[in-house]
Amino acid sequence: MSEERTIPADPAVEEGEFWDLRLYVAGQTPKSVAALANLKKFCEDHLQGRYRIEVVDLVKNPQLARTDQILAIPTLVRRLPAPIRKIIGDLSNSERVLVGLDLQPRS
Amino acid sequence: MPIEQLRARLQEAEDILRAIKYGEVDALVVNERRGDRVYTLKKPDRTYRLMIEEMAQGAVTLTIDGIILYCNGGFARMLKSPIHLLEGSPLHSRVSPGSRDLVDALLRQDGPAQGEAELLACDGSRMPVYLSVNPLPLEDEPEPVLCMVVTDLTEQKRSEELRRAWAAAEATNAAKDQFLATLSHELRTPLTPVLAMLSSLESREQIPDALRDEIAMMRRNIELEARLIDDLLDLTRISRGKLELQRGDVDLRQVLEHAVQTSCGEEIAAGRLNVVADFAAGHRLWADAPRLTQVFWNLLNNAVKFTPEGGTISVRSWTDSTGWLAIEVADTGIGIDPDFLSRIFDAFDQGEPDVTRRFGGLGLGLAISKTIVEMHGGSLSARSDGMGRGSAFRVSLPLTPVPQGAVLPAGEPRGPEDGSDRRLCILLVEDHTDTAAAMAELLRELGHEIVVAGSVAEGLAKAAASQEDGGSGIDLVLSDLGLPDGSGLDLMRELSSRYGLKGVALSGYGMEEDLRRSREAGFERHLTKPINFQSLQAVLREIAQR
Repeated sequence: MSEERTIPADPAVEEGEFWDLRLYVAGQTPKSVAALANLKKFCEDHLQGRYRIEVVDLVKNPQLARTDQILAIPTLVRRLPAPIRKIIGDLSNSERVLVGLDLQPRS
Repeated sequence: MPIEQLRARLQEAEDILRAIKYGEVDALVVNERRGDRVYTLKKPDRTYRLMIEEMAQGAVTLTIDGIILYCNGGFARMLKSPIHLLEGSPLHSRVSPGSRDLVDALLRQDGPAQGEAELLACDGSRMPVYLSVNPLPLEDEPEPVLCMVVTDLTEQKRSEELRRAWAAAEATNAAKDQFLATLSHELRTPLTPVLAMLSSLESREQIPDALRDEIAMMRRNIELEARLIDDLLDLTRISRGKLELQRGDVDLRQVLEHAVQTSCGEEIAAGRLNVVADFAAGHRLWADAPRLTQVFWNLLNNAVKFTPEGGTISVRSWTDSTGWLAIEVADTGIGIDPDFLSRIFDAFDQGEPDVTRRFGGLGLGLAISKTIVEMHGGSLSARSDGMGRGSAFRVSLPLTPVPQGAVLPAGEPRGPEDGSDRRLCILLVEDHTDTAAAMAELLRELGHEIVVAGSVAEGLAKAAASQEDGGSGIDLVLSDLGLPDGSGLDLMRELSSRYGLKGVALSGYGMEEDLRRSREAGFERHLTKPINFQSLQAVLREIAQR
């Protein structure tokens, strides 16, 4: 919860929730690189100013896979807002990402 | 909530299958007895590998004994060799013999090390390189491994060389300029007292006519000598692009009359040559009068030199059909060989060696004249019907209007008719004893009071003494620039700020840069040695009138 206080004061942030995302990658495999690029773009489009991405390289630290019970790589984990959600794959299908993250337009 | 959990697990399994089916994942985590391991479809370090393979620098891994374990394409290109011949071979054999000790030292370092070396390619060519060696932190390797990045320095070395060559050339040029300035100073200095003395003797009434002619001959020859030195200097200025025009409002007719008088006056008086002059009036232009005078002097002196006794020199000026000013100097002299006509404006060329022997001179005048005319936007051409049939030189000048508000005369020596002489107290600073004595005598004859000093210190002391005496003090400083204990420029700055004195610089250094510096130091005029006594007199008269 402490991360919430570290983000800059931005009107959008006050309105919406804060997004804490963790992307599990395997070094620089093509899908890992693609997933990070897709995620970056997705966040800028939909969550500007209210997200944080943590990249975990399982080639360097395989034991970290246990934390979120990761099997396939790349996998994105939405840690906040609750509940935890997982999206498996390189995030190339943005519609699936929207659904998977439960980020439907709220209007 | 086991049902909920089970459903979530099933959902995730479905997702993984779908992602694998669509090729969205390329790595899996597998639980093994030794712990989790990641299996990847493609190598996880592919990007790094590509970067190393494709980079322009050479990348090499080595054993500490200098055996090449791996190298990239960049390194192979530098050595003009296929990679497989390089891997496994000693680095030692790939550097030029002069670099081997340095490379050995780099490999023996414990930590990171850098240095410049020379690679030896398979075809024998050499390449200057920068080597950066680092030990690789590989815990699982039994032997330490070094990595080395190799940067091609060819371009850098080349531009460095160019820069160095350029700097050297600059220094040489500066040294040459300095040498020429010094040479001209040294050549002119001894002429000054002689010329001053002769001018003075020539004008004395009690001198017998026969002796006066001989004195005049001596003076002419010394003036000729001075002009040769000037020509050499001018040519150097031209070749360095350092000749500058000091433009002013010029009456062309006055310039021509002055040039004819100076160059042909004696021939006319002696009845040796006929001179026909016909100048159009009202030709005013924005030009450098002394430089234009120099052009006509050159043309007229050549005409006099190459025309036998009894011949005719004609000088005309008119406005030509295109509205330009045309000036022609024609003679009935020895003429110009048609083969030589095209080279006549080249420096040092006077045609046949025989001509040089008979007539003397360096053959610089025409080259200099042509440049001066062209700097004025005009042209200088020559024609001749052949040997023995005379020649004609024509100067064409565009009519450059005098700028609005410019009324400065272009520094022509004034005639003796303008103004009365006032007695001046002059501080003459000159370290060349003969020159100082001759000039002091001449100036005293003109009625001025002269205080002589031979150095900066003496100049300052005498000026101070003269101011403190309660007398009228010094009216004018005439100072040489190269003094034994300093520069006349410093002296002038001091005298000008202490007592508000005016000054005229007398210098053997006549380059444009010297003139500028003497103006900045506070000298109102800069006269170049040997001093033309008429010019000095004109300057003194001008100052006396204020």
